[in-house]
Amino acid sequence: MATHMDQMIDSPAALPSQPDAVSAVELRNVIKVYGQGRQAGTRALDGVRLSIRAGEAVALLGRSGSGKSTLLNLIGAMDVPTSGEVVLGGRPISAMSGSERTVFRRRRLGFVFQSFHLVPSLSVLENAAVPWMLDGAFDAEARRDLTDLLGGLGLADKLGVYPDELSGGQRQRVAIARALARRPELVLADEPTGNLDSSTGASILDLFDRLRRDRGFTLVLATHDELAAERCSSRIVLEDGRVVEGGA
Amino acid sequence: MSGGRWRLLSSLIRGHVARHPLEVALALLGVVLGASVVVGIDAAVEACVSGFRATVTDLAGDSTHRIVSRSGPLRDEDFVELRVNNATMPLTPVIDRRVGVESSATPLRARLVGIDVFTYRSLDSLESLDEQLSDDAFERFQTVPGTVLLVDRLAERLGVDAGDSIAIDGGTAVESVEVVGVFTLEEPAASSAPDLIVADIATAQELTGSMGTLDRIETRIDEAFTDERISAALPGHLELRSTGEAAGRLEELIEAYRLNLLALSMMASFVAVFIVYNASLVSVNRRRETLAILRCVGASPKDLALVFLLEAAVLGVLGAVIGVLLGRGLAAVFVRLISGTLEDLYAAVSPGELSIGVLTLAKGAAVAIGSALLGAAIPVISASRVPPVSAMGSTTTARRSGAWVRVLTACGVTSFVFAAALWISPDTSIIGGYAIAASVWLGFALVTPGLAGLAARVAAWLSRLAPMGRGLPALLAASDVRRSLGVTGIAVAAMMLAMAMNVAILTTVGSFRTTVLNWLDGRYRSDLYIAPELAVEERVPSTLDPALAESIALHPQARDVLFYRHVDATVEDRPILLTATDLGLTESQDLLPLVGESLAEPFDAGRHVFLSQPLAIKLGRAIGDTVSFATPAGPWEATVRGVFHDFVADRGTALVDLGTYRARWGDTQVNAAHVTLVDGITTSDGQAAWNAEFGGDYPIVVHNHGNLRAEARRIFDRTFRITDVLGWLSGLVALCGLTGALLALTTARRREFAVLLAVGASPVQLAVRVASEGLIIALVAVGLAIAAGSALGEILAGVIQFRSFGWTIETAAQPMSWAQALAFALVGAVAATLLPFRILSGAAPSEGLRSE
Repeated sequence: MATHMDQMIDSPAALPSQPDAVSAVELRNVIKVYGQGRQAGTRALDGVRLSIRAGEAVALLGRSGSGKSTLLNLIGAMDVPTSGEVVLGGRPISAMSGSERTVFRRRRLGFVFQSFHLVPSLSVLENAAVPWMLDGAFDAEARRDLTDLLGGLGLADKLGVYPDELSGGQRQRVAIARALARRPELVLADEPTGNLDSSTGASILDLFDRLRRDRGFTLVLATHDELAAERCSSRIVLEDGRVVEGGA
Repeated sequence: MSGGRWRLLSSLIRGHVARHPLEVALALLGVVLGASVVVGIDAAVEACVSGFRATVTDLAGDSTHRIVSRSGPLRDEDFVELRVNNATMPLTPVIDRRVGVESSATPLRARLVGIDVFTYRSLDSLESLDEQLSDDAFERFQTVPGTVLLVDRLAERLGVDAGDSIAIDGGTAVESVEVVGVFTLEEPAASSAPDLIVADIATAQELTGSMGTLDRIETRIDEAFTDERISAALPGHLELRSTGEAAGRLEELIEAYRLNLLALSMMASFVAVFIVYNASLVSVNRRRETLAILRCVGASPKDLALVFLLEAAVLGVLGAVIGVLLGRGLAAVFVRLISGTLEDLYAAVSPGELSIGVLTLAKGAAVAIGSALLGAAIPVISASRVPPVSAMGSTTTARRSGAWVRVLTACGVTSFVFAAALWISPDTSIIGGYAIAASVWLGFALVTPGLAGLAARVAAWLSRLAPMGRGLPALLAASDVRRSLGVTGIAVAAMMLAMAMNVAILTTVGSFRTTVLNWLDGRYRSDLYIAPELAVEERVPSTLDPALAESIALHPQARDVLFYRHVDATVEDRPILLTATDLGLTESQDLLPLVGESLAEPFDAGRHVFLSQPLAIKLGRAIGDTVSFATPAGPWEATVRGVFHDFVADRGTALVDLGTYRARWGDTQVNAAHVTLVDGITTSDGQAAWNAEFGGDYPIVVHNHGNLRAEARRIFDRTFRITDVLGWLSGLVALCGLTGALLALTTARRREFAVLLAVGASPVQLAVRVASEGLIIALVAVGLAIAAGSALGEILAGVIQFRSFGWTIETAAQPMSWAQALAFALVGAVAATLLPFRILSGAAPSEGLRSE
């Protein structure tokens, strides 16, 4: 039986009816301040406004300390803004409780990290299936779908293998499989090629292109790599917590 | 070392403490508890021993030795004979008993010392007594029977002064005496004898029903009277002992008791070593990167080792200081438990002043600092070996821990094989018994990490069977336990050892209790048990009034009466308890729980004796052998008719026929009567009727069978209450270890948890994972603790008790101890989960990811 939270998270009303009709991500005058009391005032984001259309691939650029990670945390529903509004798939995250954001991340978002962050004690298939397993919903259909996905990523013969037996590129492909396991509308990738050599990095970016075409998810790619940024349809540049290019 | 280096090292330590205060606090708590238990026990036992020692020696004045009877009572004639034959030898007869005192105030117990006024001056005992009294008072004290002197503190408590009367219950009757004077004692006698009554020897004999007998004769060894000369002058049945020797014998027993308690209290310290090891290892692993960087920039392996050695030393010193302070508080609790037990088992003890001596301080400090340094030793070596090119990475650590787990398991199996070899070897020494126990204990500790890993594999396999991936938290937990055996294996071993000790103690004590109660049922089947009140309540050897004994023997409600006489005796230079009773009746009523069969030939009261199992083993005698007793009538060769189970006197008991005893020892007194009532009278009715009939005239206690059993149970339970307390304290230390280990694991996986939170795991799911981890650890620990505890219980009861005391105990599993261990482990697992849960529930995934 679907719970109230399930209904809210998965409700069609909450989803964009047309990919182009509603922004996948919308930030309205978002301010994020870290620290309290005497330390208050570290303004990581300062009045950010931006909108990312559904299905779009956006490169997020900026120097260290420009606010990229903070922005990713907000778009990833891992944090809430100090003021302003972050709207994901038509729903403001500030209106969600912590539990709702948790389930939202599990079912509607995908994450790819620079350092892969696989669970070493789980096999390749289990690592990719974590978002399903957290819901206790890893049924035969999900398994078939995931096996196909991993096969498509060149990992068909590695399903029972553990992360420490894989190369960096293979680990990142497992992480991508985990991000896409539940067919999310939005995938956030934080320097996904940062720990890889250039040719492996390029192959990972190719993979993102192909998967995005096949599955139609929105991609937000935080990167320092200009070549990676050029593959995206648009770019947002941050400087000192403000959007200085793109975002509209 | 330069100041800059010191600053660097100390800032590394400060930084670690500031970032992980809870883990440091838990490790500190483990060390503190370990040290405080040792300090508490040591201080409490020392207070009891010093209290007892003071009671024995502080009134002795110049007396250096005492003459006592080797067998049977010491008589007035013995003293007279010694005086006549050694006119210049300093000798003074003494009666020294606990008595009841009644006045207008509350009745209380006091110490009655009877002295011979004319001879006691030669020893300067109770010096200045006469100087404090008026001539008239002193004269009345010397010449008027029924007069006594009171120490000022007692007079104050009783609310009496010179000229008043008090009633003294000396064991056989209650007599009124006149207080002719009040005196003051100087320290330390004032503290050790706050309840002293001094009477003339004849008055004391009359009050205590010991006309014609003495408790001892005090004397002094000097140049003129060497101990050889005095010993040569003594008749065969008397012997010379140093004043401290009487205390010394009891102190030996108390020392053995202290050793047992210290061994138990060291258990807590041993567990603390595991905790420090755990904490240090986590600390080293966590700072591997920092250590590698330091090596890169020129720090030597010694520098790195120094960081952790300093941390351990600071932990140890802090633990010692707090542990001693806490130990002082614990000592106040322990002293009540210990003095109660000593009183039940050995003699009345008024604990001395509770203080922490230098030796106790040193022990506490040694335990705290030692456990901290010992626990940190291996991590320190590990830290010093961190290469400049960092060897970080979980795979390496996991592989390394897998290798050492295999080595530990192999060592554990070897330890078991060694224990088995010792068990079947012909050696039957106590040390051999302890070696078996230690080997088994060590074996279980060493195989624990390996078995924990195996259990985790099974748990992981089971959780993978759960449909739809619902077993994910348990799967992650099981994998974590296996991956981090370097930390979890030690936590399991620490918890297992603490609980195993509890199970072992409860198994031994429970089996011992059942055996003793069954033995009581077999040995004491009479309906009523009558003994002097002082003997029951104060453990003072007192006798039944002869008139009362006669009334009991002729009582119409008595079908059978067995009188018992208990005296100290010597067999082949070995002190024993000699018990005389009607052996014919005892044998015909099958009242002796025999080990094997008795001699087939008819019973001969004048020739046959029974030996308790401990005595038979100590003397190396079997059925049919002869034993030589020293009696006032000369040596007596007796034949061992049978050997019986006995749990009363660990020095050993010889049972002789009462008629033979009276003839050979010339002593007609009895200490107790066991009465079988005629049919138709219940034991409770009989008890009430006999109490009503005799209780008013004689200070006696009449117990029925049920009372006796209840009393035995009470003494038993009181004796072992302290072991329960120590067991729980060890458990508490282990709990600190488990919590610390789980906390360390949680913080070490902060990033992994952050990723899981990011991909949609809820804090509750992560908490379930940590709880599952705690549960796996707890269940493995309980399973192993029950196995190890039962095996150790079997060894303690079947090997060590038998080899130490000659007691055969039927060991039986104690399911309650298992349930207790399980409950403790589950509570521990939940408690150990609460702290990590607090961390997880408050963690934002972005925090964990940023910390990377």
